[in-house]
Amino acid sequence: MSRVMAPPPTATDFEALHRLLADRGPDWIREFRAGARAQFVIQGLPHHRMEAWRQTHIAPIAGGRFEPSNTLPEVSGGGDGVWTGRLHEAPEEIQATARRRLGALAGQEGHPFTALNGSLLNEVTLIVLPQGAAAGDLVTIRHTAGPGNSLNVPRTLILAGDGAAGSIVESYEGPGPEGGSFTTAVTEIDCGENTDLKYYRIQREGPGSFHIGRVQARVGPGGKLYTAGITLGAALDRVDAGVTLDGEGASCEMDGLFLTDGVRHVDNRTRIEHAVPNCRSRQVYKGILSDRSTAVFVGRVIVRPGAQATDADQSNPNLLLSDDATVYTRPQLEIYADDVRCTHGATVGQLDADALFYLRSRGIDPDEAGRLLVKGFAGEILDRIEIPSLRTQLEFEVAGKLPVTSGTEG
Amino acid sequence: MLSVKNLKASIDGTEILKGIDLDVKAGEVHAIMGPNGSGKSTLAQVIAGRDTYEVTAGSVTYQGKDLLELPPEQRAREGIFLAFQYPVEIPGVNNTYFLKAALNATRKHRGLEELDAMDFLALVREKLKVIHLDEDLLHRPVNAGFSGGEKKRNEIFQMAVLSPKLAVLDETDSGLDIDALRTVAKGVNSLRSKDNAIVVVTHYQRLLEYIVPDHVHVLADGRVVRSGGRELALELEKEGYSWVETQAAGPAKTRG
Repeated sequence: MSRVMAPPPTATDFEALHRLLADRGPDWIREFRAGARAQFVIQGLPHHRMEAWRQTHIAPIAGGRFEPSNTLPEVSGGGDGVWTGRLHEAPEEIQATARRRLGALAGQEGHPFTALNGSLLNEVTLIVLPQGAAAGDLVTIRHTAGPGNSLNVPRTLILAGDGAAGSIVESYEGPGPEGGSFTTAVTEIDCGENTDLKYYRIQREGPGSFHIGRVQARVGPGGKLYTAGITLGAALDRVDAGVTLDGEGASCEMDGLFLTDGVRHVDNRTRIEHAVPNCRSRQVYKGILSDRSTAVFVGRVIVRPGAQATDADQSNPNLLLSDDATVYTRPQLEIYADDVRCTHGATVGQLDADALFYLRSRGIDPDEAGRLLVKGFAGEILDRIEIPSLRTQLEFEVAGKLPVTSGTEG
Repeated sequence: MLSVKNLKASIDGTEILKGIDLDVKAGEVHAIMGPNGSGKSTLAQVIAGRDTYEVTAGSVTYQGKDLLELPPEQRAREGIFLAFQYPVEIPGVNNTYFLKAALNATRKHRGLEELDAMDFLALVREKLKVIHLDEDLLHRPVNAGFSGGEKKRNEIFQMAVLSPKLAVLDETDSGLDIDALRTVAKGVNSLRSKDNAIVVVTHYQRLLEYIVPDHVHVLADGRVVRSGGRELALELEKEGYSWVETQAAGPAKTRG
């Protein structure tokens, strides 16, 4: 017997908010919103009886009353010929391309929050690295959630033409400690042939905020994509990050680092699709959990039929600094080709007693020794960040978030 | 400087040290020899303060203080250094940062001013030369990816920088080729002075050709079964350890 399940009621009337926007903007954006709205109505908000949402309860989002925010992202940097800014301010030929690409990568089916983002779409941040663009100045996109119980729907489209190189930092900040904002963010990254793109995503929102993110990228033949997802803030964070390796010789490296404390919850879902032969992917997501916090890592690697000579590595080491912290980690390999090399591994551990003793035997305080070890654990990810100012800033932020650890017993 | 009396220690309920007596005076070099499993490394770890071993009886006095009362970091700051048999790899923790933190913790404890980056670097460069280590090592994570020989030399390098009063070398010679052995010995000998003492824990006599001990003790089954001068090491080299095991059950013939 089948049973149609009605989506759970939400305290925020997203439908009414969509209607408020219905007349705003040019035809194409109204059509885009209408299409997304139809998807959102079909799906509704997810609930914890759904496999993909079993460990992440969105009751605070479903039950919260959020007010649309009108804060705009700050965009800066970029080299010669690089276009950065708001989509509707771009020259017409760039706009035309961007309109065609928007929504092409981040499918809405099975992603209700992507549909919600689309149904409330207002501003699109656009970064275009033209064909052959040399790595110029770092591009930064800074989203600040509105104060209080704001609703934020940031949308970003990054287009890298054939042979283009560049680095982009996208950060999510605000509101202050009292804020209980909700952000549903979507970023699409389309990399052409032989591109070399580095994308850093930093989530450092306030402790009461709810952050749902989606990153979907495509890498063309011979292209290289490096992503780093650093999660430092929010009461609840869920990011679905996907990369499709779409041309021979394409590769991606995905790094992740998440720190949780208190009763915070962080859920990272990665999905790498090897669509064609001779592609390489590597994922390292590291978690540091303390107090009663929880984290989820689900890493999916899909090797399509015919995608021979695929080389894929995935690892998810977790450091638990408290007996009450919990991490769920699960690799999901779907392999439909036979000549492939796929590895995966997850570890959950505490501070290494031998290493603690080693440091203490050199005169270092147990607390300092613990901090050094945790910093070292995070350092393996942070050391790979090639932008010195960003790396230093993150090292500082990570150090500030580390709990005072122990090696004191005994 | 160090006085060990009737020291008994166990791990997970198994007694490893069954009543050790050892007296080390300033200016002396002691060698502790013995077959595998005799308790040599346990003794070294207990002196350094490893809490996986439970001390069940006896006492350890260091410069008039009850050593067993002190946590490992305090022992280090008081001048005790253990060169580990298996130095621990610590990925992500930079060697320079680690060593500077260690040195300054000790200096602070002794009422000395903390060294700034320039003075520290000067000191470190001087010590690197003695141990024949590449400066590149300073920028690498602690022991991570080091070869066995590099790890052992890094221990001696740390010792040279921290300049302890009592150095305990736990099988520092194992896995070293003859050149590395000479280098390590040179580093250790440069620490020798009338104010310092060195305890060399080793299975073989080889290292003692380069670090000449004043006293040699033979451990078997958790007890000192024989003590003597340097010639005892040579005797052991000739006869092997088999005779020691037959003595293990009997009373210890100590130097007194």
